[in-house]
Amino acid sequence: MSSHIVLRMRDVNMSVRTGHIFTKRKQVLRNINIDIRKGECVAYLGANGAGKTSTFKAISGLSSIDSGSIIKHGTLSIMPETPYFYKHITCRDLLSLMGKLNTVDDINQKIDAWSHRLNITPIMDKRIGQCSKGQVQRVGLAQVLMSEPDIVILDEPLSGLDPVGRRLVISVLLEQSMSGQTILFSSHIIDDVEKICTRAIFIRNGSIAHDEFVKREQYRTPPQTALEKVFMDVNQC
Amino acid sequence: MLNVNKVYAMATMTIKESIKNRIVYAVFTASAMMFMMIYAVASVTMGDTGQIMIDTGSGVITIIVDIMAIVMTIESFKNDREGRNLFVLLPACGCRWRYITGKSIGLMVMSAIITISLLTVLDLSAMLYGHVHPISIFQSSITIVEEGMMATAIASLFAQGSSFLASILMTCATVFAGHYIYIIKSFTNSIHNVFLQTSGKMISWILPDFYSISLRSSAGYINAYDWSLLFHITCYVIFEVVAILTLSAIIFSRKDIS
Repeated sequence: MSSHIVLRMRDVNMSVRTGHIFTKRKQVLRNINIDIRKGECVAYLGANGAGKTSTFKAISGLSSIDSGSIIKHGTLSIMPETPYFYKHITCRDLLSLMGKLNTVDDINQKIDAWSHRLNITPIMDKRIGQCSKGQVQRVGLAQVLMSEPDIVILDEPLSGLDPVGRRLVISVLLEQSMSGQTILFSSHIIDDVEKICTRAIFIRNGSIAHDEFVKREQYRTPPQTALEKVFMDVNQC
Repeated sequence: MLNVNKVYAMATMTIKESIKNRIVYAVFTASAMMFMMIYAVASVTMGDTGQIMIDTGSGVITIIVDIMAIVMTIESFKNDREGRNLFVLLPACGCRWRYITGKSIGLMVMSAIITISLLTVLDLSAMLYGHVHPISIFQSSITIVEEGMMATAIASLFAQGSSFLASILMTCATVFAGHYIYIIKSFTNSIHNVFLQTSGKMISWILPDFYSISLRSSAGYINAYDWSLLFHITCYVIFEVVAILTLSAIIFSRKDIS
C-alpha cells in the first residue's frame, strides 16, 4: 500500500447554528486529526449524533470549518445516507447526467458496466421515484463509483438494503478497496464493517476516540447465516 | 475554470426534472381555462376581438408566468437543499457558482419554453380572430419571455433563504415593486427631503425595472416598435440576470449546507 496521503485533517473544529441567526452555535467537531492514505478503506464509526455526517460535510466542503485545515489530494465523490435525487428522471438519465457533471469518459459503457455490477439493469429505465430505497441506494453507489474518484465517501451505504443487496454492496466495496481506491464510509452494522475496512476510526461527541488498523484478510469471504441462506433461496439468488 | 459542460449538464438535469413538475401541468391547465374565458369576453366586448385578446391575454400570461417561475425556482432549490441532492451535486460541479448558474439557466429555459408555448397559442388565436399587427405582438412577446427569465433570476437569489414562504414573499414583493417602479421614481422626484430623495433613488436603482421592459401597452395596435428599443431592453435584462446570478452565487458560496 502506498503511503501517499490523500486526505489530511488537522485540528478541525466545526460548529453549527442550532436555530436562527442569533442562536448559540453547537460545536460538532473538536480537534479532528486524521490522515488517510491512498488505498485505505476506513470505517468511520460512532453513535447517532457523534459527528460522522458533519465530518463528511466538512471534507466535501458543504460546511465551513471554524479552524484547522483539510487537505485533499485528488477528486472526491460523496453519497449521502438517503440519496433523494430527482424523482422524475430515469436512473439511466441520472447516471448519464451525473457522468457529464463528473466529466466521465465513455459514459454509456460505464453505466452499463456498473448497472450490471450492482444488479440494477432492470430498473435503469424506471423513474427514480418508482424505485425502492435499496434500489436508489445502489443507483447512488453506481453514480459515485462510475466517476472513479480518488476518494469515495459513503454515508451509511448499507442502510436500507436487503441481505442480497448488502452482500452485493459489500463485495463491490471490497473489490474497489482491493483495487486501490480510497474509501471512507460510515455504518452502524459492525459485522459488515469488519468485512470491508482496513482501518476503523471511532468518533464520540465530535472527537476522535479511537483509531485502529484492522486485519481484513480473515473476513474476505463473508459467512452466510442460516436465515440469509433461506432468504436467498426464497428469492432465487 | 469555466467548464461550460458542467453548467450545461446541470441545466439539462434541471430541465428534465422540471418538465415533469406538477406546477407546469397546473400552469397549462389554468392557461387553457383562461384562454377560453378571454375569448368569451373578447367576443362579446365592443372592439376588435383579436386586440382585446392580446391586451388581456398577454397581461394574464405575464402574471401566470411570473408566479410559476417564482414558485418553481424556489421549490426546486428547496428540494435540492432538503433532499440532500447538494451532497452529490456540489462536489460533482466543483464550484458552487456552476451549480447556481446551471440550475438557474435550466429554470430560465423552462420558463421561456412555457411562456413561448402560451404566447404562441394566444398570438395565433388573436391573429385568427382579429386584425392585429403581428410584428409588435412578436416584439412584446419577446419582452414577456425576458420578464419571466428575470423573475426566475430574482427567485434564485431569494431561494438562498431557508424559509420557503419568506423566499416566495420576498420575490413576489420585489417583482411587484419592479412593475410599479415608475411610482417610486415620480414620488422621489416630487419630494424635497434629501434623505428620502436619496433613499428613493437608491431603491429605484436597485430594483429591477419590470415597467420599462414591458412592450405590452401598444402591442398589436402599432405596426412595430423601434428595434433598437427591443435591443436595449434585451441588453438590460441580460445585465440584470447576470448581476443577480452573480450575487446569488456569492451568497451561496458562503452558505453552509445542512
